[in-house]
Amino acid sequence: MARIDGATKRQMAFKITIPLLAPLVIIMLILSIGNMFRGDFGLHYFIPNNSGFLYGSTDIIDTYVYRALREVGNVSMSAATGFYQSVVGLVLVLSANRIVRRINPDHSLW
Amino acid sequence: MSKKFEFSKLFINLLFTVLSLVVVLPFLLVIAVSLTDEKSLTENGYQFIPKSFSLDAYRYLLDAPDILLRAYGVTLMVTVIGALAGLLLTAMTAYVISRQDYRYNRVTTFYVFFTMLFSGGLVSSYILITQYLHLKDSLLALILPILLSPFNIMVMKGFMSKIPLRSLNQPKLTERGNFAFSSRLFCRCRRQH
Repeated sequence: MARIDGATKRQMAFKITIPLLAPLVIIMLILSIGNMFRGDFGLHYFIPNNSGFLYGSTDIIDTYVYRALREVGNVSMSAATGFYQSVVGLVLVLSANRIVRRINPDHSLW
Repeated sequence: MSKKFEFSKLFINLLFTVLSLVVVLPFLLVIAVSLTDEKSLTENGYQFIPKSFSLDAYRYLLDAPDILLRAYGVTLMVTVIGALAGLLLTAMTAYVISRQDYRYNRVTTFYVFFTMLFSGGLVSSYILITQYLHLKDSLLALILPILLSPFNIMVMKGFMSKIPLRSLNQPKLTERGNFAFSSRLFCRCRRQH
């Protein structure tokens, strides 16, 4: 309908499509900020093939928790490390949502 | 309509060509590597066009086909049962949450939504699944944990709340009860989408 009014393609893309997509993009962004501290376990565990030399550069929290649970056997420490991921993610989501709510309340999660 | 050369068209076509190549080329590489001789793999690495063509990998796989067949059977069963049961449970949960006259509406929505933001982590999921649900070493451990996803419930709830209830509030339906009402709602969802 904007094409009838004579808008060019670039104007259509920037002024209509992106503002309509913005709420969903912002919601997905807030949820992804909560997942920031999680990593792809399959990638970081199987590609280095669990070799000890590469722990310094390929170890992430998920692989550390898995190794601590299986080899060391210290359940409470690995549970606490995994729980720390979730707590930090929750704090990040809450603050991201508060920031978005201050800018434009329609786009926030709640 | 004359064919004008527009930069925006060139840019869009180029972008989508690059995206398609990024997706398709690794797949082609895997197919090419699976048709390569083992020795040339250790000498030359992964090539797009194999230096020495051989079907040894496929021969090795198909020599004992029952492993492959059982793996595909498990995948098929887990996918079919998981999808059907998951859809049923998600739709039931979303229908209940979307009804405004349900008394525990906001509490349940918060309860489901909170699990999207916060979870106990790997160790607590493992303890729950093995010690409390006793699903260790069973097929249900592949199906049950991923049946309900809070994001899917929220999306379905959004769909269902957009349908005006007055159009479905005919007297014949309301006296038949909630099950008939909810099935009409699902059909209306499907038709609207």
